[in-house]
Amino acid sequence: MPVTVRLPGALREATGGETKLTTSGGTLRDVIAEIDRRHPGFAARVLDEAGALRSYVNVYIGEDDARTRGGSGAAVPDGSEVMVIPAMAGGGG
Amino acid sequence: MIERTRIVLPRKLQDEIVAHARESAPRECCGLLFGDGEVVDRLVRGRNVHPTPETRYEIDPAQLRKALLSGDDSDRYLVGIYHSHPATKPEPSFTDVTSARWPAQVYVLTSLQSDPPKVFAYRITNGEAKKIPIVES
Amino acid sequence: MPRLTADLVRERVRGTILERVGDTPLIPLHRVGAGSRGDLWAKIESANPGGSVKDRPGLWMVLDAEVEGRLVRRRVVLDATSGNTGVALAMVCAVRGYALELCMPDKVSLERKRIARAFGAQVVLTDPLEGTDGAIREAQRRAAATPDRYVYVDQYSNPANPLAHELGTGAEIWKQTGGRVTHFVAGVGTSGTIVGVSRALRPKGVRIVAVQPDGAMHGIEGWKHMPTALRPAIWDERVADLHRVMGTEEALAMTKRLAREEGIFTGPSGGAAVAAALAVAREEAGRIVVLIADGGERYLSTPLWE
Repeated sequence: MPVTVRLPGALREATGGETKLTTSGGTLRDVIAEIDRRHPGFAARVLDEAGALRSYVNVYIGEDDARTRGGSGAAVPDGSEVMVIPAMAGGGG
Repeated sequence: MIERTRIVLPRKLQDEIVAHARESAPRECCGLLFGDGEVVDRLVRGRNVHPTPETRYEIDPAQLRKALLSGDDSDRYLVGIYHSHPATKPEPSFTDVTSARWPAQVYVLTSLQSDPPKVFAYRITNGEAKKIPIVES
Repeated sequence: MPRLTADLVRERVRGTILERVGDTPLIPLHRVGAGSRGDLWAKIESANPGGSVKDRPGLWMVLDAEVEGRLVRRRVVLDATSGNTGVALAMVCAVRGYALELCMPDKVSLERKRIARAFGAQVVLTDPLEGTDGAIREAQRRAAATPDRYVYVDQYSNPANPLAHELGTGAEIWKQTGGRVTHFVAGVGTSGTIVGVSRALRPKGVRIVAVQPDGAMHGIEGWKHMPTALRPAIWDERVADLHRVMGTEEALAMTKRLAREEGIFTGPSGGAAVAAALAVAREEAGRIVVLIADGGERYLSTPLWE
């Protein structure tokens, strides 16, 4: 069963308007690389040059925060739902 | 991308934002505003998980995930995001502008600096904040 | 108080590797710029000994502290940076004989930590979850707790940063083009480059073009990599005549073209700046100079070069 990747509106222009994609499983890096092959430039938006998740990008694999499962090296089993959620943050101080 | 040029935020919900801000002081409060298009009909209080909540906020991403899962098309039904500035003006700070990663959503702010606290709305895109009007209905 | 000048800098670095900071090559982009109204030239900052444009503010910030008498009694230089500025500071402090502490989030690559330590700097690792903010807070905390121990150079608000570009980068460009430069294009990171070069060249009629990423979820490393906790005290959007935005995909495509067509190997920010400069060159006649901040080595393992 393929992996479903849900993207926020902020990444819509990177994928030609698509916010729900399907990929095969593997590691999170594999999933992102697969999306990048279809939409070059996508990976650079969510991973830094060391291949780690950018600090303001949260990714959930099912209910688990990818950062608690190895970050960009986290396993993404077939059939899982991956959700990319940009940090919702700020502050006046 | 949905271009929101104003936000319809009923008085009752504006009052709830102010109440949340007062209850959370001296910490910043934060939360989500759901609805459709420019109209908000539901407010969800957010959990501020930033390590320095007196001057910063970050909505618990796990909470955000659950709130967004109910929608079908990513964040289409998320109309706005609110937070409070307990001690500074109700306008986006440099931090607010540089941290804003939800360009389609309206950033709603209140401040406890004035009494009664007022509520304001902004679009933050391309590193700039632009004030937009709030209407009650 | 004596102000730092290019001559003073030259004097102090004579006979060391730091002599090679600045005076970087200006190369015409014949292929990428073919068919444009304006001539496109690139200033190659990877030619600096530390590998990036940051060698300039790195050197000037430390020498400024020396000249102003702040680097006394064996004080320790301090900053929060894991990137190019960290490498630059580490190299400068090794030559000038100062101890250096660099605060950086624990998630940075092994290479970054090793390079800093290779020059003898002490690396202070901060909470990875707090990112750059956390590193800056730690640097601020140390500086406030023991102010006599540290000279916190703080690239985001240190006037020696844009000064390095005003008296270095900008002055060089004027000289290298024989006064024929008409436009200067650069990305906005700490903004030192744009602010400083603008001070040197705008009074001479040069149009300054500041380029920023097109959205909040961009992939142009180094640009607007501003800490969320601080406003760069040196930035003022009025220093630019034109503000342009650049998309990630276009930036990466140009990065590849630069390598394949011009033999210039750089990262996403270099590609982004050149793509923006090319857009200017298409519309405007004149001599358009674009700054390419660093080389592409850091990005070799990213999908860009797959």
